[in-house]
Amino acid sequence: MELFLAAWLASALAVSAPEPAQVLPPSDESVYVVQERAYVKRHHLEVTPIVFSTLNPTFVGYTGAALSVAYHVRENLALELNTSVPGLFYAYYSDMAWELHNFAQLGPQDVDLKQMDYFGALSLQFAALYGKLSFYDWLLDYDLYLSAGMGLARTLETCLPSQSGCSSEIGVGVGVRPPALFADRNKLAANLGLGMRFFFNDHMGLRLEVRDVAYADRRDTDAATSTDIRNNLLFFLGLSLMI
Amino acid sequence: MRVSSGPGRVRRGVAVGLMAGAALALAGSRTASAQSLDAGVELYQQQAYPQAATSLFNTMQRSDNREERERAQIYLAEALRQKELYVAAVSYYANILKAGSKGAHFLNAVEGLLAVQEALHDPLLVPLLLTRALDGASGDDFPLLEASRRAQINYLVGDQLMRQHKHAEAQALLERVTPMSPLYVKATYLLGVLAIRAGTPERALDLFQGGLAALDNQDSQDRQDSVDPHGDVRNLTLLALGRTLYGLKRFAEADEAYGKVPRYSDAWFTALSENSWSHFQKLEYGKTLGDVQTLVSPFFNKRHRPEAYVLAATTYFANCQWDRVRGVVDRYKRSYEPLAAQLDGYLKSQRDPADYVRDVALATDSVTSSATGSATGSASAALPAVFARRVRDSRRFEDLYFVLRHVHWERDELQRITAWHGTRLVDALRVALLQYQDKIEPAMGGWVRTQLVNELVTLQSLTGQINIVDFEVSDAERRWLEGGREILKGRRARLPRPAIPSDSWQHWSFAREVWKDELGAYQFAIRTECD
Repeated sequence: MELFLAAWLASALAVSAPEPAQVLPPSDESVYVVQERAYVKRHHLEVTPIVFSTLNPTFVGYTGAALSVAYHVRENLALELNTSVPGLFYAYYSDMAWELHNFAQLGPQDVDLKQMDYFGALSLQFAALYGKLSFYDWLLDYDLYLSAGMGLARTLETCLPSQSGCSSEIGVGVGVRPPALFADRNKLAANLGLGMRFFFNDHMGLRLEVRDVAYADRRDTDAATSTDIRNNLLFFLGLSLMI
Repeated sequence: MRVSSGPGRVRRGVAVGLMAGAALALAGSRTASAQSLDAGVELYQQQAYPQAATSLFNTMQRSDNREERERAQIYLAEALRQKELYVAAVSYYANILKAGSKGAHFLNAVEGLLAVQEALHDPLLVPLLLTRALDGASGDDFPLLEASRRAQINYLVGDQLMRQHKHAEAQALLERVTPMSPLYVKATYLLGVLAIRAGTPERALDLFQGGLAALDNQDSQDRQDSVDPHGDVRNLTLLALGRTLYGLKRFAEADEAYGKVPRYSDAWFTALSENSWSHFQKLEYGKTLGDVQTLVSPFFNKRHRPEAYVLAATTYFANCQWDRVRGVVDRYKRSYEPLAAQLDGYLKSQRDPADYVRDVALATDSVTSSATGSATGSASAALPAVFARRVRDSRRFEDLYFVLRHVHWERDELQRITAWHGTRLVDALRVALLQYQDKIEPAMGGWVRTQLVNELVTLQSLTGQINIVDFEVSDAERRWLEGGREILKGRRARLPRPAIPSDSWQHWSFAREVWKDELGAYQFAIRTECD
């Protein structure tokens, strides 16, 4: 053993010709990486339970659960049906609405206080970009997608609490009830989203999306009619299960 | 006495022998040596192996009775094996083998040796002893042995005979290894190699494919893991399959075989390296250069890869990209000509065989040189680490070196067993171990030197090839100039992406940084400039 140690020490003083280290190709070489995708989506069904929350609500915010089912026609194209989950949909008035109500004795237009209590849409998803993240030996594949579709949004109108079918006060001095008119209750809603999908393995991933659920809304009262294009910017966080 | 690992017929034979011995003892006329033998056996059975060994050794030395000496010897060998003094035990097993297969304890000794071989992964001592002792017999000539042991004999002796170029005898033995044996796939691999040597590559293909099928058809993953725990045999067989198909000019099939070698496995570098030639032969120059890019990536920085540069230069040459050929040739010459000179200097300086072993074992990236001999401390005599690694990473070196280190460990262990201090047994064991060391080190040193010489010859051959490319490119440039053609190239335009089979595939841009998952997936877009 001592002899081995001596040999090692002696060796440390000598010099050896090295094997060349990494050599990069000339910069004008056209080099590509051609890889089979780590996770194949084509012809797979992606089921995603989602929790959502409004981003920076002006007067009304939402939080709740939704479900998305997407069929991937191609690697970069999917048809998606999503719906909020009735009973797991909560609306609230924002701080601004409360401050206006409490301190300024002001109130936004009635239409701005209407609350959505359901949304659902049929959309096309187009994954235009893909990428990957590396953390030591852990590699995370993702794609960025655009989503566009049409769907349904249902709203509740504001009313004087506990009068004429109105609920008790839910905040800022108002209650809510379903509008009498079908067209006022149910709105055609445009859905536009930008999302990111990470994959952990062949069957599971994480989905992040920002989606605008937009619809035209109005509120008719005896005094006035107010209208607005409501843009509900929702943040989706979902766990994708590939089947 | 636990002679075999299971309750086989050999064990019963020994038990009968022991009972007969006991009956004789009861008959009355017990000698002192017989009493010493009985005491040794009793100690052995009580698992007091050091004390048993001392007593049995004394019996061996003092008894006039041959039968007693032989019984003491087999028990002594077993006691040493139980103490993991494997190499020491081999010397006593070997003595029993010398007495011939008719000896009472011959099969016990064979079983003990096979157990030692398994424990040490010994590729030399036990196979050589068995080859000599069996003298043409096969494992199947010993029906009292368990089937797995018979297969082990056939495999080890067949392998040994193959190394001695006794191909017919080797084939006969290897063919006796049955599919039930864990050694079947290894034996099939060796039979494939023999078929190549015999000039029958088609038969070799059948054998390699049969070996792979046998691995796949194992009835459980556990069984597969026991046959090929690290996938080494599968990968070796896939490489052999790829090489054979390449030799038959079936390049697409060779590409497929090489492609099955798992990424990041030990065999992957070799598979990529050899498959790059398949791509070249298929005129898939983009893939060829992509393979080269992987081979010269940092992931393989500790690998020896001069051939990658030769292939890159040849590929650029085939596409008339003279400036790029020159770049690769220059890089090769800067790196490998000094390396070859250094290895040549190392091999030319005088050394003891043991020094080669030591240098290879101790080489680090900074360097190594012999601790003794004329080369000491001399930079010119340093062994480049890359060659040391090439030899050191081979399975044969690992196995032989393990045996050698075990000899050292056993010598140290002799000092630690207090029951043996000052006994003649320890002196005898020390002498036996030194004798083995004196046999193994020169043999291993000679083998290591041969490997290093082969490395030098290969590197010189590759340097010859790069010089030919260098000459040819000069000649081609001259012809172009004479023909009024421009040989200087400016910056080339970026070429379109290679085609992909389906949208399940994707492209990434190479941003001049290496991602581990992209290794093996590089493709160059290259256009011929010959027109």
